[in-house]
Amino acid sequence: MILYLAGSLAPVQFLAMADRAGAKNFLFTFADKQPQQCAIYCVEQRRTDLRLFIDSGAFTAWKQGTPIDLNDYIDFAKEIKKKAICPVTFAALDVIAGSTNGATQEQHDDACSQGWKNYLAMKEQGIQSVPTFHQDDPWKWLDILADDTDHIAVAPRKRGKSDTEKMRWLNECHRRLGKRSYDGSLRIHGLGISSPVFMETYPFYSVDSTAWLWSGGKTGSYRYFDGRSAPSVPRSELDDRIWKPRPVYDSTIDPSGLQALNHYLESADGSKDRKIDPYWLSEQSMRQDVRLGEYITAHWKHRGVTWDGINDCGAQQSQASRVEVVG
Amino acid sequence: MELTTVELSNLKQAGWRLSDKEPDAREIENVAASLKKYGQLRPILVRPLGDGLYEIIDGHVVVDAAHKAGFKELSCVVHNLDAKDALLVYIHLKLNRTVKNHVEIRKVFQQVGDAELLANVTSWPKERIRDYIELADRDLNWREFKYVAWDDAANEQPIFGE
Repeated sequence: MILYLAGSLAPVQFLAMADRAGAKNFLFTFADKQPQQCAIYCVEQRRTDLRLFIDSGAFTAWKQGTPIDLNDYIDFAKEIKKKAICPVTFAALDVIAGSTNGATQEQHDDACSQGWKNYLAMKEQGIQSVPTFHQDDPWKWLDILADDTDHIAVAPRKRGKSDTEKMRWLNECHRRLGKRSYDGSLRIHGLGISSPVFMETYPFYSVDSTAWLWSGGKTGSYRYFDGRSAPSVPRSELDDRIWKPRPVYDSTIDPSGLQALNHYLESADGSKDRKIDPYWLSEQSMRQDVRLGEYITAHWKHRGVTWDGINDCGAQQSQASRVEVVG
Repeated sequence: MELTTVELSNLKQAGWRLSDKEPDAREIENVAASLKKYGQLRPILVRPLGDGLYEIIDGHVVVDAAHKAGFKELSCVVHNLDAKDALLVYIHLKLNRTVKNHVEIRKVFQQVGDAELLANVTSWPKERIRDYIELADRDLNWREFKYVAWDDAANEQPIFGE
């Protein structure tokens, strides 16, 4: 499984941080300038070891009430496609039904029709994209999408749905798709799926998560990989855990993370005042997501599910034969 | 406990060898290089099986590397443990040495089955061990996609249709 890190910083800072953390898979949205710049910067590096997912940003645009222009998105996709020598996947420009208060079945159907038209328009322009099936969309659309392509995205509704409701919906998606959801003939991207329980339960080809971004900042927390998931330590408890010598090995403290902390302390103002840099928390969190991705890949390998082109690290294989633009 | 030298051909891999991945060729290569340069720095841990045979409790990579480095025998610490205790000792060593991904560990937990015993050996909370055992059980029927959030499992209703 590929765990895409969703979100962005200033491009140079972002990629340097990701390189230190060993992260290679990124999702950038077309909805904002900074992630667009990050996407351009990544492909301009002419690296084959990265893997990008370009999201149309329809959900962000829907929240902000500023629709995405399909032609602008297609132009951007073409520019990325022209420059990229690493695999790049483009999401189709989907349409979110209704308002934040919910949507009627008719609105869902209309949104699906419009999203389908956008997907076909992108295809006509030479951009093979990944259409999205949203929670509460009529089920016939899942069949239509899965019949037309071998790569789809499923998106549980972000607001107003409990984990139980999301899981029931995902159960039904996978039951409907049957063997195709795990025999390699259909790749399913779980949009905004960041729960390790969901990743363990459904054989997603890829998911994306912004957890690394939320770990940074003033209210951030320290994430560590515990062998199965990546829980957080509140920032208020960090000083004690990191600076005080411990009589026994503490598995919550990641030695490579501490090395990275030294990098941040030295590069900040040289004072080494043991101040915890919020960017260090983000980088630490990226590192844990890489490990989580490795675990989920191993978990599915153990269950007999593997995906072509994805190695044990959940990263792209870098042989010349894999240097291709997907989509 | 005794220290002895055992021929490589008499060392048997444990059936429950934990491996998060395929044997790591690079790690074996590194250990083999170290064996060639410095010799064996510390003994491996084994248990007697009878007839001069021994089962490896800890040191599988060293044995693989010793084969590669052309060694004929290795120094071993022999513990008289039964299979289950050997397994528990290995889990203890494995879990406390470093944080790994726990794909295989749950399978071994399922094999032992006794959450209380495992909790004593590993210092892990019993709930977490039970959770791992449950996950290992789910490995068998995951294709049915029947899962709901754990607290609501009893109330699952078929709610889908056209």
